[in-house]
Amino acid sequence: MNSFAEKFKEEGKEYFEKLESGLLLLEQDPKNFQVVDEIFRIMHSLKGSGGMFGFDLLSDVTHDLESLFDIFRSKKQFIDSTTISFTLNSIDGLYNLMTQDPTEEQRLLAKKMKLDTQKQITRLTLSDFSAEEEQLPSSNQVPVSKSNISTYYISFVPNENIFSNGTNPLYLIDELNALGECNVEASFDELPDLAELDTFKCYASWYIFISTAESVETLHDVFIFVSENAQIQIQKVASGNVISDGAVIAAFLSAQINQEEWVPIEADQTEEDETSVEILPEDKSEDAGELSESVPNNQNSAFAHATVDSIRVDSQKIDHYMNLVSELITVQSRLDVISSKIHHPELELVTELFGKLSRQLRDNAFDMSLIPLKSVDVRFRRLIHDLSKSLDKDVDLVTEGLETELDKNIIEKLIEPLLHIIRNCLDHGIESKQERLAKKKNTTGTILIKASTVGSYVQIVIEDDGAGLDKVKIREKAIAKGILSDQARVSDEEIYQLIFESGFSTAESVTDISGRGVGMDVVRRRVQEMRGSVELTTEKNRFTRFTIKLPLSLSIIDGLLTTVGDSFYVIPSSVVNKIYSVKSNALKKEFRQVVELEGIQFPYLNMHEEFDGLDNIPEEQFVIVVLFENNLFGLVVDEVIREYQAVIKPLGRLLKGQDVFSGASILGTGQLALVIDTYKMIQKYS
Amino acid sequence: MAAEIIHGINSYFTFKLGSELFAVNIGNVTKILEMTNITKVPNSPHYFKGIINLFGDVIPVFDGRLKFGFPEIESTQNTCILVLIFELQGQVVNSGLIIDSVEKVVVFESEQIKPAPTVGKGFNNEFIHGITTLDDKFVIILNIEKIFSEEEISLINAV
Repeated sequence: MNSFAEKFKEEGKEYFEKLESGLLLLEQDPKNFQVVDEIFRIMHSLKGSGGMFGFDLLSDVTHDLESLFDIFRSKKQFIDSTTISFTLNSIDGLYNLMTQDPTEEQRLLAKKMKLDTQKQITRLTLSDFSAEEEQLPSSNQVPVSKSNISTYYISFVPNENIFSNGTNPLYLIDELNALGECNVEASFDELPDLAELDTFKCYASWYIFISTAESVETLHDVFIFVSENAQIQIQKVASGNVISDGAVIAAFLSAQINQEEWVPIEADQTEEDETSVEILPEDKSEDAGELSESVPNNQNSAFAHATVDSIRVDSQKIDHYMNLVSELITVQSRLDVISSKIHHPELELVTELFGKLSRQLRDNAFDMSLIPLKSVDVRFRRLIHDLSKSLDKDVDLVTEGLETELDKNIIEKLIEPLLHIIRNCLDHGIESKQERLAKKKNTTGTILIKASTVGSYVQIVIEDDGAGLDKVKIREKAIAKGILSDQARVSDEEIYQLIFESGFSTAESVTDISGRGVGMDVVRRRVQEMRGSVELTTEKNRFTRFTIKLPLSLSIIDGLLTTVGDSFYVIPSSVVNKIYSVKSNALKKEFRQVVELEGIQFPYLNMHEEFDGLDNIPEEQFVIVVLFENNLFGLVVDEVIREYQAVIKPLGRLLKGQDVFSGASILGTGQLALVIDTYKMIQKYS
Repeated sequence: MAAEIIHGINSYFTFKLGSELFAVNIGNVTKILEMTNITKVPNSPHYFKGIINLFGDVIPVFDGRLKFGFPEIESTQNTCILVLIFELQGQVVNSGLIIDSVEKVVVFESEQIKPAPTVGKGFNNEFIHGITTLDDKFVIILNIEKIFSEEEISLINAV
């Protein structure tokens, strides 16, 4: 609901801008009725969607402004500069009324604006009369304009779930009412017994006769937001206003009931026959967010195209922007250091403000570089479509939360692993139709992709309802491949994780789809390269579930700032399990490079020895215990300083050859700290 | 970074390593920095000194002496870091080179520049763009792209 309101607010601003530019155009060219029409239409949309999302005051005042412009539109009177400046001022006022939850002042403002608008209308209609009196002798236009009016029959049958996207059908009826004389009939035929009544569902439908000068398209536009969620039928009954003509209405209704074709009663026969248009609910895969975009599209006019809804930015520019913001954060942390040294109250105040602003700027920059997972949805669907055909399996893809956003660089790197997992699900997970029948499962398999944000991580779950992993088979295979010794006593959990080992492939026959033995280990490595993790849970004949956890962004991480020798190193917090302090002498005695802490033995690497040689090793060192492929590994550093939010800078082209360090981070003092890629580091030194 | 490579200038920046005079095209030079703290990157080749923070960018720094086969010395007051910009496989790259001292900027017309002799002076001929003279002394004009493309390879090998 709220996101709709947010969307509308953004949209509303666009409308205001369009109105403004339209009015300014009119100021120079008051005879341009096309622009008047356009303004009227924008006001109409503003009123309609405003009302729909609960911006009642806005909708209310716009309604009156709309009536004001109707004068120019219907009477073909030229707009005067008083009205233009009045409307411009009103737009500023409307800005203040953009709220769902108005204050008393806003109510008063709305009241005053309505009053002023009424005054304008009175002023114009009075002068209009005098103008018309002058015109009367020369022209006799009244019958002509009357013949534009037609009577339409609208059947509006909302789907039950129409309330779920925040639509109030009554607003639509109100909107129709504004277009012309209406006769509305509500039908509650579908209303269930009280016991079965779900208050979140819509059971009512409406049948409306409307006599209006508007075109069928305009009537359809009223329902543009609900076209997916309702069956709307608009049919022309007759030219002219026949609402009060009981005989015509009765004849039309009986034709409807008997499903006979109704030929509109025409005043003159030149009008087209094609007046009945039926809109059926569109494909549900359309995102609700796209609804709002359809509005600006049908406003192709002289000025509407001049304004822009959103801009496309070269992704390199975004990267550059991110870099600048990162630099700003670096400078800010320097300022912090200086300020805390000087203890100047005024400086401290400014530093604090500066810090707050740069954090906001950082969040904003992050927000910009994030793109929704939905952008790769098509590729999932395509893969499943193609594969299910070639494997002769029926598979449904269910997605959830694909609007979850991730750094675009992560998404790019994630596509392949995700597709590989899906491939595996289809190939190995979901059984053939016969097998599924034998297991009394639905012959159509389901693959679920669910994304959500958990803290500073994004979690993506890929689950199939297939055969699950066969732990006996995996065990045998692992032993055969020498990954596991046949005496090893391992838990089920550990057995399942074996599929991530390199050189492992469970498929009995190697198909061309998956199972080339280069599968899951690559998936895990890719995910770990992005400082993420992938886990697997499975139940035989029920499901296999992959859970991928990824950081929101690659360019800033939470880390642990440590020193080794006289250099700083950052270890990503996400992998850190525990920190112990140890006597370096105790470590030295160990020849096997294994340390025992709290009864657990695990290998370690003394970074001081590795990076700085055997000299100057402090007496007391720290073991940072990190997780490495579900095993513990100790990284021994000289000192742990504090937690640190590291802006990671790439080491540049020339240093691409080395991969132990994922980058460098500039500390508040201007010094550099190398950010350790623990995965690579352990792999290299163990 | 705002700096770009400027092509088509015949001015050269000259500097000293040991007693030898070297030159690079001025279009490839963006900054001359005083010697600063260099953050070392463990397990790199000895002539790769580490990385520095250049106005928020991280750039690698190489020791010209070690790279070109001169003995290592303590840095002096004149030691400085030349920040070079050049193209490497289509990408613009910044890199620092530690030199003993800055000399001056000189114009060499292209006909003044002779191809490198085939007998090298202890270092790879490929690094030399050409040789010219200045006040009766030889000036070795370096081919930066070559030097650093080699660099990339040796770094990869070192890991």
